[in-house]
Amino acid sequence: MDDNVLLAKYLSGNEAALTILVERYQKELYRFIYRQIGNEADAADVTQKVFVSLFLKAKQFEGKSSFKTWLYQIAVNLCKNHFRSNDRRKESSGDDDALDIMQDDTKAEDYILSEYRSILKAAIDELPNKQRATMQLRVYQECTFAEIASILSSPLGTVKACYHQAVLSLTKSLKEGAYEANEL
Amino acid sequence: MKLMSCDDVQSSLIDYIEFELPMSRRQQFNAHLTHCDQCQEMHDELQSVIVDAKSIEIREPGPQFWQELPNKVLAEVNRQERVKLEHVKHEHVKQEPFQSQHQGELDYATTLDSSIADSVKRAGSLPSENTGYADMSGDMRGDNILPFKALATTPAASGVVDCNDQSETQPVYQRLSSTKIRAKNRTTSASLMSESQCSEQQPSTEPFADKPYSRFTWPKKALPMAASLLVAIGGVLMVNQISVDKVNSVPFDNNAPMFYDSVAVQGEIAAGAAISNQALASLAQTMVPITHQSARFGFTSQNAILNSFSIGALFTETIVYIKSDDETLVKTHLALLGSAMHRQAGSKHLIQGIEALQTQHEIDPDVRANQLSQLMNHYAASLQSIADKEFFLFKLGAWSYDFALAALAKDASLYDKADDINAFKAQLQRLGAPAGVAKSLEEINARITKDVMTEGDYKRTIEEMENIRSLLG
Repeated sequence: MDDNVLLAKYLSGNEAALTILVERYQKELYRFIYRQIGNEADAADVTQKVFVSLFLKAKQFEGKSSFKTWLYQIAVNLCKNHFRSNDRRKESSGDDDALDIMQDDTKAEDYILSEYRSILKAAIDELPNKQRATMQLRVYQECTFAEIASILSSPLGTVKACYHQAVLSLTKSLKEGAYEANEL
Repeated sequence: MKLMSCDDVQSSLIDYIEFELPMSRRQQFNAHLTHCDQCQEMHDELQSVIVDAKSIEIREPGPQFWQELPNKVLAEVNRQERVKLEHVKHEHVKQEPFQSQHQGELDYATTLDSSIADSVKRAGSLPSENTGYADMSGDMRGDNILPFKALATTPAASGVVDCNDQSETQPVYQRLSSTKIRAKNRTTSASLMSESQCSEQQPSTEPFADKPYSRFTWPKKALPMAASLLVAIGGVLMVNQISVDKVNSVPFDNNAPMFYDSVAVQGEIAAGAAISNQALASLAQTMVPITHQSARFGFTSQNAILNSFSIGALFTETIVYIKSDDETLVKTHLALLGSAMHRQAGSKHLIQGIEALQTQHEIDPDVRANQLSQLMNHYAASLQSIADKEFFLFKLGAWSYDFALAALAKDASLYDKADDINAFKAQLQRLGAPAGVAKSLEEINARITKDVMTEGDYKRTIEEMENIRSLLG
């Protein structure tokens, strides 16, 4: 059933419609938020907040954009609020990385792969907010550039330029990371 | 095939990887990459970054989290709404009576009344100052209606409205019924519509033309659609503040005033209880969410409850509800109008007239609708005398509701609206309205001037009207 129809049903008192909408988007939304925030507990908390905020404002949804775009607009906003109120992103992501990499029985090949992913993840975390959001919406959420422009309220050209810059920055960071690893 | 340089290729590699290039350019890319190891290497590098980025692990919560999340969300939404409701009830108890809160505005309105009266007399469209609304008889019906079609083409600056032309002196709702008759009469020869479309639009056999004030039925049919349309596109309410949040399209931020239970407020209005200004404001906010654009382009002042555009639409809408005999909605809309009149410094005469209509549910709906039409004209004339911009937005609001209903009913009267649209477009551009309004009007014009309007045309027409409302309301 169409998202907008479900939202209308929820507004008319059908609570099951809320359940369907949450179940439909909860995982992809969590992943998006996790990649923004980098912490499991905070990502779960913000995911819930996004849905709560959305349904509290459901009456004001004008249907000018798609439900999904609106959902991500709210998510982008709440992630920003999270960063503003709690600047722990780097520390928390570091904790996760350490856990990933330092396994005693890790084979050399796996270790290199983990190391590579760790560098890549750190590089993504280091991107400016807009580039990171653009990168994640494009790569993970598979949004079109037009959808990203709508979610981030930016011109299409700016979004494309952001994405372009993000990929180039990541490539550069990976090269530098690989060089530093070899030096060690 | 034109060969590309390495610089050209490398500057557009990401567009190539993301399939953003036209086919002809992709072919040029392919040809270049086949022969250039350096560019091919760079391509592979960029592509692998994107692919590898996807493979980064995500720590996901266990299955229990996913199972519980919908219920947690629902519980939290319900809890927060209960908290808001409790807060609102608490505030509601503390409210002073509306009249005492706005005594200053009422006094101002009274002093304003004399200046408005001159304009009204010039327009020649209103009863004398000594005529009470209770005194209006059926004989007066139809004599004093300021036609919005005429308003649309009357230079706002002239200050004079010619009401002698009886063919144009119909209220909005009545004109709609008449245009249906016109549509019926011309269907046989009309090349504008297909036969099947015409048959769909045949009005009932009710003799509207013979009894200009008899009840017509189509608004009743269109009402559910119109109601939902109005929820989506309706006017504007300024409560306390506007949060301009560019990313989030939701008009109010988390600090916005608490919502009242709109159903409960409507119930109280229907029961004749005194309603606080905040409750009415909240109700309007629920029914017609505020838009940022209106404030951004100066169409809504911080002091207004509803802007002139929304008030115009609200008048027309209320008239339709009176005709459809839905007393709760009538009372709700009259209460909103009354509230707006207080804030907009409407004349005492007007405010009293609207308050009187609140209690006159037993009188004939046609008489009541006509009385409200006259009040609407009174208000239009008063606006015209003091603010060109407000007057124009008001008549556009009334017109837009009229137009939206016609579009919903797929009424043939749409075909006659091209002149109105061009006039509105010119006026809006003069007032500095956002470019989107003019574009929407152009789109509507393109649709309604087609020989045959399809389902898609009607749908698009309504969508464009929604856009206009969202920009001006």
